[in-house]
Amino acid sequence: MTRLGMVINLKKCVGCHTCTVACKVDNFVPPGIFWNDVYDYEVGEYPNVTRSFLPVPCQHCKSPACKDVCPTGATVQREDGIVYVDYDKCLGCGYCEVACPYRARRIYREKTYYFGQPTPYEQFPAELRAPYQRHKVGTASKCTFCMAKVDKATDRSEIGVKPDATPTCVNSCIAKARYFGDLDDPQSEVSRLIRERKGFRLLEELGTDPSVYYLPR
Amino acid sequence: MAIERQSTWGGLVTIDMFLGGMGAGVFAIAFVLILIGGMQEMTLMGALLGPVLVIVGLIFLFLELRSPRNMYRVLTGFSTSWMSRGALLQTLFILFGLIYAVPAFFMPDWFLNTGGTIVGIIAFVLALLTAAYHGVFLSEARGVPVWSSPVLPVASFFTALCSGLGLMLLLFLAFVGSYPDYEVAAISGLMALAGIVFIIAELIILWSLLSSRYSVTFTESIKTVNGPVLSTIVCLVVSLVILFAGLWVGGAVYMVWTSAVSGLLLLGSSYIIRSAIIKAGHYYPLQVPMS
Repeated sequence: MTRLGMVINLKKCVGCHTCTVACKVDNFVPPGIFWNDVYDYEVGEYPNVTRSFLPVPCQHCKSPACKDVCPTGATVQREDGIVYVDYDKCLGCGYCEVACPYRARRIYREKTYYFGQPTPYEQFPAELRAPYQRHKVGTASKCTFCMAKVDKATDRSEIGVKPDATPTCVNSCIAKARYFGDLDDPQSEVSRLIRERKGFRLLEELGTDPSVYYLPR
Repeated sequence: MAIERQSTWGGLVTIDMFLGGMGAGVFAIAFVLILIGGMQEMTLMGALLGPVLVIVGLIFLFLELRSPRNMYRVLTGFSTSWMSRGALLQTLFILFGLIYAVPAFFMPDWFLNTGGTIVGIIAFVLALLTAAYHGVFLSEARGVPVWSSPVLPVASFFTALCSGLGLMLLLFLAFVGSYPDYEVAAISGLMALAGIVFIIAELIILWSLLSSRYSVTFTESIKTVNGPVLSTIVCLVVSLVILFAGLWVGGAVYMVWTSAVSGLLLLGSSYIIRSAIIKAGHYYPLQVPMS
């Protein structure tokens, strides 16, 4: 079995938000919605305080709270663990948005443009985009681990290695703080990093079994 | 990182929960009063208002939906989603509730029929489940500590009964003139007794919710709604005292006065506590363990 997952090295993250912007550009994410938030937080006590960053994409949990609560079956979990929204089935009730402990979901409430009028980028034909990039007003929206790219991999070993088969946030990270691959493969780089660097997950106690690991600072 | 309040749900969901709970509560109380007998028009009106209020509540919930065209899919997630289960539960309650209440307007002995009684019992059970449902619905939000508290479904149940009784006390005012004093005294005494039990139960549940220390986020979330929770407790305690006094003093005139005040206080407190619970919906902070 393949379980796709991500490892984020907090020591390397510089909080530049390149991943946030690259994700928005590559996935046509509408204004006001972020699939890849980066939070600022302070570590330590005065006078020894440092600023640190916590990137939080969708955790693609093995036991996703968002999928359990979805009344219409619009939240789908693939065999490789990727969780995505089928916009044609979504009711826009917001239950998944409140159920997700990682705030990884946002309801796309109204059609707006970045600069008031639609730019050529925003007029890019929907039929040329991947299905999950054809955002629908009134539906839930979330990170998909760039699954159209992942699906381009002809071989499992290409995932997370070949840029064409790797999520945009991983490719764009200027500090090389992100890694992507198969968590079920003990030989993969992500598995090795988690093992050797004592990777941890956010809010593990809630039983969601996230697929995003963090390497400590 | 600081705790963050959910911004997805607000007034519409609060109104749905308030009206849905009140509808379930008033039906359950009306059904019991029908079985006991007395003030038939009032109890019949209560039984009819129950499903109607749940329908109105669902209309408010419907307004919250951003893609209502997919409403027909709402039962697809029945195996895991409490929203799907709640949709079925409330639909069945509305159906059985109306089948129980509406024929009684045309067939005076409908409530005494075996068929009517069976439909009534089914609707009564569905009403009790609906009363607890709103708490269960919120408890699925694992990342929101106040909502996922195990106490919430019980709190929702008693809030629904209190608001149902509040409405029944106001209905009592509307119908009190057309019945003999002994019947009025019996029914009002019974409602006052039920009110005392419900209020004490709700106060105990509220106390256990407020005194819980599940996590720092839970405690901080509760602190943000201290004012509304205090208002609810004051309303409930005043209502409790008035109902006690009503039982003690007795007399039709005093009963009318206590019903009016208690009814309004119970309805007010139920709305405030529903609103407070929605407002107390803060997420766990996304914290990095310090190594």
